[in-house]
Amino acid sequence: MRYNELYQKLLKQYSENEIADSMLIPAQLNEPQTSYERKDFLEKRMSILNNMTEEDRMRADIMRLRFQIEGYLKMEGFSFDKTFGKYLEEYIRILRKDRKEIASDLAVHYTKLSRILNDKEEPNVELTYRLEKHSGQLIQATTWWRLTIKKQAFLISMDEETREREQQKVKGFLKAG
Amino acid sequence: MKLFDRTNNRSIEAEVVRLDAKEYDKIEKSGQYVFDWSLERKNEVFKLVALEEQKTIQGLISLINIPEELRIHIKLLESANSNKGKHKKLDHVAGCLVAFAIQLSFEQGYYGFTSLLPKTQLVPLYKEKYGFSQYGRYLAVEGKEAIKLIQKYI
Repeated sequence: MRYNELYQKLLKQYSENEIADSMLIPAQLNEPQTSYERKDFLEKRMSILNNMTEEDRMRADIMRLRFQIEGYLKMEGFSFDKTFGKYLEEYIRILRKDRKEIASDLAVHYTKLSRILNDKEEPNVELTYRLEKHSGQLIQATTWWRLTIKKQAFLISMDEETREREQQKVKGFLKAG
Repeated sequence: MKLFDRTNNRSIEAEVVRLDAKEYDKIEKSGQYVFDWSLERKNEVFKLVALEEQKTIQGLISLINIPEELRIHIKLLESANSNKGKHKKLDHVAGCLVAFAIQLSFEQGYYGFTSLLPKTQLVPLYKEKYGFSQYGRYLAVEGKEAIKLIQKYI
């Protein structure tokens, strides 16, 4: 059934508002119309691209970074190439600011920021709130924080030395096995 | 992303995943869709499912990636019949699917630019509901408007 016929049929059951609320019904154009509209649209698309500001591009790149982080957080496993520090470094690169400027923006000491970026120190919760505001709320504090949790979970699972040392101190434990 | 269950007024977690080729038959047999989704096989088709009940498809979207124009085009979108009309069970199905298309556009580096070519009669409604702008017969969303939809639905 063609979309026009289908639309008429749907109108017997739903209002226009209900249709728009639950589906997209495509326009049915003939070949010359399609060709004309596509060409016209392409010109407009290129004009939009040419008129994008630096801020528009940064905002879009921050959104891309957010989805990269969220995608990584959904995946199993941990990577030292995808730590809080590495993503923060990418965030700074997108903003085209130097580390001193970012340290000042976030009210963090430059040395502390450098240690976090180099994965020599973990961020605190306060920094994630500051980053949330700094990104215009595009990347939430919880998203940044979950990166630290993922790393901690990995380190805990791998640290056999500490596990053995600490478990030797335990008495009166439940025999579950 | 979150859907809203109108039968008990609670939010439920949902996700969009790629449709498996084997599922087209299931969609047809379900009687939940008015479009012939098997015609979309050549495009990228995704389904929206609630995390707590992943066997039921709540909505479908067919997308075309157009890298040379830096855009994702929404070819077709449909909520399941149970999510249409006055007595629909779940709210935000279409909004979540549109937001997903925009997410893909950001991920591809297209600045969130997402287009559709809807029936003329419905153009004002799509503009009002999703903040789309009109470019000839096409509608499209990008930049701040695209981010607003992401923040609302994802």
